[in-house]
Amino acid sequence: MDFDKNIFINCPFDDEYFPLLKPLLYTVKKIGFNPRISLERNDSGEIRLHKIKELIESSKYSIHDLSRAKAKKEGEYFRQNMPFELGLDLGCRDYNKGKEFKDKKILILEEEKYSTQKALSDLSFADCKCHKGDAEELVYEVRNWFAENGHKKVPSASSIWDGYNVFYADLYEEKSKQGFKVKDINRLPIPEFMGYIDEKIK
Amino acid sequence: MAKKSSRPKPPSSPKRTHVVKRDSGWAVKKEGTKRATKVYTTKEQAVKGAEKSRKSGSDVVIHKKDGSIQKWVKSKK
Repeated sequence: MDFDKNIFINCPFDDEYFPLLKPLLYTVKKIGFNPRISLERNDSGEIRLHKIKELIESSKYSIHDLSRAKAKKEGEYFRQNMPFELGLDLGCRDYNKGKEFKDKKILILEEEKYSTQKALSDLSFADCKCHKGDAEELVYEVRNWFAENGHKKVPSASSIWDGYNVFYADLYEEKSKQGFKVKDINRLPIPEFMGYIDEKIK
Repeated sequence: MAKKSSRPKPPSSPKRTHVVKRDSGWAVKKEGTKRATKVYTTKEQAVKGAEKSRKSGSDVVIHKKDGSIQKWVKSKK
């Protein structure tokens, strides 16, 4: 796959985050990029860390959403996978000699402004974008990041957001006709969901 | 006698009106149009506002704030 078009997505994979992940995937594809995510394939025999490294090394761009790293209640561990994978990505960019890796572009998302800097002061240089846990806001931030990185003819955030709502209505209508219940539609596996986006936006 | 056209009919455009989250409010937007018909402060107001479209033959698709579907109300026609 094309390194220049690949974008590594590092985020939580739970039911709580799926309402943000799905519009994120749609936005990336709508702008013409190829999201690479560890859920894109499921092989129980594959070592997860190897998979993550392969995704990072094959992607010029990456989006790291650190918004759900924080523990929500007393006694709960905070989630370290996302900051760890961000570290791997920064290492890949900074320690590799190849020019393609030096050109890597990284977007860090957070839910509350400056929350990342509070927990990860090594990243106090970073200009993180804040989505406030809101899907529409996330679409705006991701779209604008592509534009800030020099991409031309990026559709407006409003048109992407409206397009996503229409896309979801199409998905709902077609799958309902096939006998899918609402919970089946909302919990489609990510590869199937991404395949459906491809069908609709080609 | 006029010859019947053999040209196939274009597919009918989807008659759907969406209630979608828009910035700090809720918009009523007919599918295929560029602009929202109106943006309301609350979702409840927007759902009421979409009722006109339903009477004129459009399904009303009420979205959740994440874009997924909360309710699909069939048209009255």
